[in-house]
Amino acid sequence: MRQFVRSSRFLGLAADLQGSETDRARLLVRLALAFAGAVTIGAILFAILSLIGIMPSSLVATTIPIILIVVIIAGATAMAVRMGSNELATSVFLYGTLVFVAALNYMAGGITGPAIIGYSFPIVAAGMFGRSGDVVRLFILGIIFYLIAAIGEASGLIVPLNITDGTIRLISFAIFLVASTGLIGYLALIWSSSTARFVAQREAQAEELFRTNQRLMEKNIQQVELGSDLAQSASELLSSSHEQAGGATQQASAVSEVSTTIEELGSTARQIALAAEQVAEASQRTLENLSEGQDAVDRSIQAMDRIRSRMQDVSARVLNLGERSQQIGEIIDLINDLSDETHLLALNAAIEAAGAGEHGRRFAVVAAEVKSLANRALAAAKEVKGVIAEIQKATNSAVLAAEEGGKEVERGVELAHSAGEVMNEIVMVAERTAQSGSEISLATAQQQSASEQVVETMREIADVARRTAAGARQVQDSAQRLTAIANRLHGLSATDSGQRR
Amino acid sequence: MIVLISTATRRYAIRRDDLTSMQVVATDQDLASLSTAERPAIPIDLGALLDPADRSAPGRKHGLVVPLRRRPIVFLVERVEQSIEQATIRPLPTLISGCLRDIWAIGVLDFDDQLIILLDLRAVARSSMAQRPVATR
Amino acid sequence: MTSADGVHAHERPSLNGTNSTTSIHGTNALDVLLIRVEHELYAIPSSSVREVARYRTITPVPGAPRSLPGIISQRGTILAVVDLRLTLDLGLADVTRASRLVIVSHQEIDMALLVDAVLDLASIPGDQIELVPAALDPARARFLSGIVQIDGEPMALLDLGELINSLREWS
Repeated sequence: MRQFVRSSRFLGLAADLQGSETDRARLLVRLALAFAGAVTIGAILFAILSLIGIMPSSLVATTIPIILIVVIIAGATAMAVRMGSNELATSVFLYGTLVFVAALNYMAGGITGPAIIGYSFPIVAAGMFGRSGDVVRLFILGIIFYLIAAIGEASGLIVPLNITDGTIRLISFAIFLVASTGLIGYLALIWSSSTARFVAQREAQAEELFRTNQRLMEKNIQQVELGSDLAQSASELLSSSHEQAGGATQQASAVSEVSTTIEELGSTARQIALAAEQVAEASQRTLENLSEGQDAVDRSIQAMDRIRSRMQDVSARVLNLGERSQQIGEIIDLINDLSDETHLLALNAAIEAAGAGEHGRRFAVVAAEVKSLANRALAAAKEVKGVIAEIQKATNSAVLAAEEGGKEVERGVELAHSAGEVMNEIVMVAERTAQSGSEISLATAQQQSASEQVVETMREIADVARRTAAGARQVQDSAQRLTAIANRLHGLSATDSGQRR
Repeated sequence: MIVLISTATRRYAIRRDDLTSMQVVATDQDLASLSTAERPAIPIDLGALLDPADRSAPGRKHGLVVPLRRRPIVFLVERVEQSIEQATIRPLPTLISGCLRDIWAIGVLDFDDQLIILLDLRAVARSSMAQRPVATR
Repeated sequence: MTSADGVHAHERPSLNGTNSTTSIHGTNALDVLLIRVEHELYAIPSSSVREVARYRTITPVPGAPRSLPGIISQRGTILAVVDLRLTLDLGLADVTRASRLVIVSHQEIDMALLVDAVLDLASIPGDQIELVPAALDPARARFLSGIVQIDGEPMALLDLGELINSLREWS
């Protein structure tokens, strides 16, 4: 909000508000001047008319005070505006004009004179300037002034000046009317144009305010979003640094795991070697069992094949029967056709007979014979049809059964074949396993013999070393004895020589 | 001269004199070749026009060109079978000819142990201009 | 396809003895051909019946009304086929083995009536022919010239003239 107030835009708006006050004051001054001007012109006009002789001559005298009063009112209003108090100025103008109108009424013909029209002006002006209180007050005051004048004139206490009648009166009424309505019209005009300007200004200002508000709101939203982005980035950094820390720890533990695993691998390798030996033994045993199973499967496959070929024979024969049955069906159709035709023949014969009168009677006998023939043929055909239908049914079920049987056999053969295949696979696996097992045993055995050889060699080397050591000691002993003997020899020779002299 | 034609499920007989030409209609080109700028040709599936159940699949057709004042009508049929020089046309039974909605069938041909309806293709062309069914080619 | 029995037994009753029907003067018995259309029985005056034939393929005529499925050739004559099932506004069952074409001639006009079965010839005593009840649907009643009871079953007499008139109204 502080931002808002400091913004230069806002200051401008505030200035505008003050500007509208200035506008009003200008309006008031203009109105006051117009008022003064209108009255002055009117008064001078009346003066001229009176000098000419149309109006009563006493009018001239009243012109001056009238002009004076309005000038005072206008001046006072302008001064009040200059001093800066528009309220005071408006009041001065409104009440001043009211008093002026009251005075004018006295000076221009009284309560039946043309000046009474003027009472409307201050009231309307007050309404225009928004002084609702003053509107009421001016209205009441106006009525009071009028009543006082009326009572005064009725009782003879007040005698208004310049009472006219007839055409002159009409002229004066006309002039007053023009002046008053012109003034009020002018007032309305300047007020409406000022109001229009005012409204346009306000609208522009409202637009500005709205736009400024929008921009500020957007900035706020952006700031909020920015803030949340930052927060999100911060939390991401934190979680990734956690991960890194975790990763480092994991690395450390992974390294130690690897070392442990390597040790375990060593022991596992020894275990595998043991297991391989066991597998080799097991697969050997399996191989022996399997060869028995395979024989059994081969035998059952052969049996199935024999059944299948027998079934195919049966199916072929049954199929043959089926085709025959089809032919029989066609024969039945033929029989049906014939019996239909025969029946129709008999019927048509009867129709002819019925229409042929006398001659028809003999023909009718023939027709009756044909009819009974048709009936017998029909009956016979029905019997044949019945029998054939039975045969067809039996044949169809035989065909069906044969098909079913064939299918069963097929399925059995398939099963046996797949059993055989499964067996083969197992055999292959067993052989491969046996082979791998024996390879591992062989390798292990080779390793063992190699290490044994190494041990042997070491022992031999130790033996040689020992023998060498033993030999060396003997030599040493021998050398010592020789040395001793040599010494003794030396000693003897010395003594000998000592003795001989 | 009478010409026998076959649609998807039927056979009909037509008068050669009703046509300006008979030709193969297999592509848009073929149809366009029968049109001019002022007188575009209109293709109509004859079988479907006479019996909505007798509609043929799109493909190569034979066209029978009937000239009307404003434009040529091309009646599409499956095959033009043969022409018959001397044909015995018998009239339709009065019971039927008296209650036909449009006088398109004008006689019967007894051919191959089959009754074949003889059509007045010009009358068919004129009526079909009033309401045009969709054509397949 | 073969249906073992396409025709029910009761539709092949024995023909009457022809003694009482040959004389056309003196007795007021009416000889009729009994036919079945859908589930209803009708009688056609046998004097109008030329022949009864089996169903065969009908050649349709473009532009003909639905009750005239087309034309057939019978012994060299071309006949219009009138589908009685459609004319009498009954249902439309499939054509079966038992369907028949009854070739009739009425006032010089020949036509073939397509029916679901032909039963037999019969002779109806004239005094048993009753008027068509007023309650009957007028669209159908126009084709009937009377009602008669045969074995307790009501049977309507077909008026061939009205049939032909109704077809003429189509043009």
